[in-house]
Amino acid sequence: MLDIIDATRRLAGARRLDGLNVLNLRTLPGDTAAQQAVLDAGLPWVNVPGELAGTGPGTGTGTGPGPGPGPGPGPVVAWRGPHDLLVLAEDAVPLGALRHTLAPGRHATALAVDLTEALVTIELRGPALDDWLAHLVDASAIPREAGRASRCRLADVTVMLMRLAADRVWLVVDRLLLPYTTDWLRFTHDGVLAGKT
Amino acid sequence: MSGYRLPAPQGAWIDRSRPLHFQFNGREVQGYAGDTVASALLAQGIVHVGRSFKLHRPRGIFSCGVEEPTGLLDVGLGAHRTPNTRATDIAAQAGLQAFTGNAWPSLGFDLAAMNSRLAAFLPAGFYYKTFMWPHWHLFEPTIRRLAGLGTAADAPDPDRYDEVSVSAEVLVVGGGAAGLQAALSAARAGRQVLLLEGDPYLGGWLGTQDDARLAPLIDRVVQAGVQVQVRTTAVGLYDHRLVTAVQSLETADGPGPVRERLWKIRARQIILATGAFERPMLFPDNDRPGVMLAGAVARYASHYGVACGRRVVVAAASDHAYGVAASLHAAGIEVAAIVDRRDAADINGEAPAGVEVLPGSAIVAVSGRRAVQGVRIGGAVQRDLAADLIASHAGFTPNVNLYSQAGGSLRWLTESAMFVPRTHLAGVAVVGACAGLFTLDSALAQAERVGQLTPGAVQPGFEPDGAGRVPADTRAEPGWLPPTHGKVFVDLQNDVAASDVELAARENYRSVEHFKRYTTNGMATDQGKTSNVNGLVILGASTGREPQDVGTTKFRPPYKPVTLGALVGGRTGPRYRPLKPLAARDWHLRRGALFEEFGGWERPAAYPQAGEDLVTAAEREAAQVRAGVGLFDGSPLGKIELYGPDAADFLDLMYVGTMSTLPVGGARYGALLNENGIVVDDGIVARLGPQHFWVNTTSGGVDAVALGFEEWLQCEYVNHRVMVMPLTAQWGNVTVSGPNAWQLLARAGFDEALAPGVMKHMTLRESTWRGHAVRVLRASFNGELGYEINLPPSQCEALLDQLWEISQGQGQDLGVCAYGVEALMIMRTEKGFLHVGADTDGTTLPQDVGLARGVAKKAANFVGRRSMSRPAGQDPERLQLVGLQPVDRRTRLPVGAHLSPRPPPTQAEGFVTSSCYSPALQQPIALAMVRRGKQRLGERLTAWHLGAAIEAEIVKTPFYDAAGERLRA
Repeated sequence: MLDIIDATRRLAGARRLDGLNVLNLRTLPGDTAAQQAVLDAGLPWVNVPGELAGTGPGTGTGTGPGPGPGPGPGPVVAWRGPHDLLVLAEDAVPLGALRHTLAPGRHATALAVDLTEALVTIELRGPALDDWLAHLVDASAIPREAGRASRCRLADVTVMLMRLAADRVWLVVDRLLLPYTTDWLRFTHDGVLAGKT
Repeated sequence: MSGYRLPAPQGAWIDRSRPLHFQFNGREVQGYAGDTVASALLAQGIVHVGRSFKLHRPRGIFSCGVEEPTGLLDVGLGAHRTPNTRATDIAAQAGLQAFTGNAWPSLGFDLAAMNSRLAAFLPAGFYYKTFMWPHWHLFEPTIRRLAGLGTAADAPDPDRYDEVSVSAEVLVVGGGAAGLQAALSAARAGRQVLLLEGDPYLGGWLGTQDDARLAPLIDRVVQAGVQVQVRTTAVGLYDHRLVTAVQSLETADGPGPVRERLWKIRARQIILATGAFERPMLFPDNDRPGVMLAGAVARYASHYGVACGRRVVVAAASDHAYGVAASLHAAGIEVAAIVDRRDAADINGEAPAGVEVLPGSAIVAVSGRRAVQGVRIGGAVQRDLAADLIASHAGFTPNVNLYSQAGGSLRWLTESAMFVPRTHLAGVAVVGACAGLFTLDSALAQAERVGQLTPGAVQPGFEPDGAGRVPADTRAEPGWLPPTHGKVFVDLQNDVAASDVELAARENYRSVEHFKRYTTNGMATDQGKTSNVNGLVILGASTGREPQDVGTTKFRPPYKPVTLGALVGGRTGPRYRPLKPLAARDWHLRRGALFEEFGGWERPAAYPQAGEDLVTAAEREAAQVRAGVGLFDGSPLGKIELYGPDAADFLDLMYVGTMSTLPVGGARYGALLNENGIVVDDGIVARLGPQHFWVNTTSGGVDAVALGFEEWLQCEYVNHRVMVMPLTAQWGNVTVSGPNAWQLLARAGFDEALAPGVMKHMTLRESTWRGHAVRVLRASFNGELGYEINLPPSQCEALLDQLWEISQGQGQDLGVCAYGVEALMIMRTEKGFLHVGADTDGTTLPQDVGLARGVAKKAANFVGRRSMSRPAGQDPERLQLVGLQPVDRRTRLPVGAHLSPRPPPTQAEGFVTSSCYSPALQQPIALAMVRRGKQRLGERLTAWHLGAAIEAEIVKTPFYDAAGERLRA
């Protein structure tokens, strides 16, 4: 974990979540293999635009929003686009199983692609989260309720926002754009929340 | 005109307990917190504040808001300077410095004021008719110096700006009586309401009337939960009910942490309550300092406690002027007379007790040059009056800018001489004066109804009540005018007189849009808010048309001038645009990399050693690679995976070459075209599995290529079952190339299966390195034996470290070096390899650059194929990519140099696209696009560059290792 903006600040903070494994599940219309593989791995299946579901570490197969009560980031499954899911988890086991099941060549219509190196997750926390996000993305793109996700434009780059709780959002961004995104987070945080308590 | 402060209760917006001081042209001005720069100047009796644009006539403050045409000042110093901004719209701040921007050497003595003596020679469009002989450029520098107002800041703006995005169920623009009522009504109907007001306080016109209904109305709005945002002006209304607004965060104490904020508001229902502008009367010398809009005079008195003059003549053509006269009279300001252009029978206004009304009369002359000293009245009553202020009011112009931006059309209300909204738009409603309703009760009643509309609904019809009978043309009858009379200005900001409008009409400028451009009426910072209607009424009269038939120009965003900072927001410095760093950046730094931006990436251009510059470093690196082995960070190379049963067929459709015949593990170079057959990208495609492909693109083109693939799949080839996965960030790339490349990799422990004798050129192997999956592609962009090792980016630095350590120990004999993009460019030029974007442009077809080989044999169709065979594509005169070398073998041919037998200007035979000194050949070489180039090998041409001529010879490429033996090892 690396603090970008001190997360202990009262209004909002940001920290980079290191060690999160990321898998991209891609399917073609009509495929059922991917859904079965996800369910077999003990993960929830999402197929509604903007849907986000997860299971907490050690909590079995609960499908409530967010990563559950566990101490670490548990697996979450987010709808990223039609036939395009993102799975994030600190625990590599369920993702490893998925990656194996949906390795290239095993299914003609489904594929799991590792994006662990490609994507970085930043956790944003605090009660002023929505005010802050409104300075970064279009208001309509902010997932307002826990269990919702959106793929949107943040300061001219594409990111995913995942609402885990009222005061907790994951921002998933291309690793190459991390310095740029971090700069924007600091800039807007200073402009919007500076001096407020 | 000698303004002064009125005692309280006048001045509701200023805080008299907080005096402040600022400078105007070096003179100290005292104001109060809450003052604008304009109100503080007027309170101090400063009436002459500027010079006009063209004629440099003395000008003063004219209005009390964003419509200000003449009170334009440069505000701030150095980097903080804002040029040419409205004194009526800038909060007075302690220590602020304001300057007149269009006078030299001083406001009082302005040399360019001689222009006013030459006014007869400077009519509308004079610059289209003069300065043509002997050449426009002779006059251009002087005219450019004279043109424009103000001086731009001389350093980057240090202030901070940002933007915010919000949603609103109902957005009300304008916090006057109608806007407040509509917001209240909507909130009571259960809507989430956001109300924007550009002024610091709510109330609008009602706020100047000392009306007891205002305060309770504001209280009810706040209690109903309406979110009120003052000092926030809506400046644009776009499709899908997106509104942009600029919030000023400057106060009397200066800017806060953020100076301005751009709001982007998406609303389900927009209610425009933007009020109306005053229309000025037209009379000779109506531009003198001391001529002001009547409503503005009332606002200065009411809001800022400023009497703009001691003796006022009200020039009127509307009953509203009588209310202004009454409020001024009540504030203790002497009203000398109301001069009304209308006949007595048409007048319904009531003059204050003791104030004389002169019906059927008009001002025909103004005395005083830098300040009004008196007026001459003509018409039914003829007399001279002493006065230091003329309050002018010829009716209203509903502020329909945003309505028009939303697509609304207008109709002319003849009796009141104004344009009012005609069409009703879904989700965009108009209320109050903006809708042509000028009776408070009717405006409030209509706003109440509109506030209850279901968001997104179409506003029901309504009849505007207008502002009474108002003549459209308020100029004095010619018979009233004295033998010599001054110019009648229609557009004060651009020095457009009524005579200019009539001249344009005589020259057949009938279209209002052409008229605007020709005369400049309605252009510049005020966009004609006080001049447009007068201008088009005169244009209509001069061309025998009604104003309805003349129409208005298109209203476009922004509604008022917006600083570039507000539009830019935080997009400065490192936030200007993303710059992608290499994962192994630290390794490159340790090697002394000189970083530059290439295609959005921060990459090593070269690794200069002591005494080397970029060029010599690149030449040394290129020579070292050809002699030993080079390490190159190719991570930016675009990487896309395609997977699916139809992936092979799809790639055949996308590429000029055939990819479906590739065996697993095979790789092939290909070019991508757009629909017009133009080469837009290139790269290598490798087959990972029967339905799995690895696609390399150019570094800067990967996003466009991936999106292009998606577009073709989603829009045209919808039955193709293919998944497109851009993976540039998932894979790093370390390229090892040179005659000793394999020896270095072998010493690093790479699998023998990668040895040149086993692994052929243009093949790909999946392998591991230190337990990490790697994909090794044997390919070459520099003509040497090359291995592109694709691996996790997090491991790039470790691999480079390992290879470098070997080079410093057991591998010293291998001659290892790191090389940057510049050396790569030298080597690929030596090989004649195409660099898309440098050697190609928006006209380049595959056959122009030697990429059409095999097209005839390719069975599958592909994007751009048909365009390649159009007549233009088959033209034998087309430019073709060829090699070029200087005849003297010493002089470098500059990139961009034109090739022609004669010195320019003449038709060029081609141009140089790439150029370098070749360390391998010990001479300069170049690539060029040359007309019929392939048929002209051996021919000599002259390259012209900045007056220099360099003789060059067309040669065949590649320059180096033509047989390709080195890259095949």
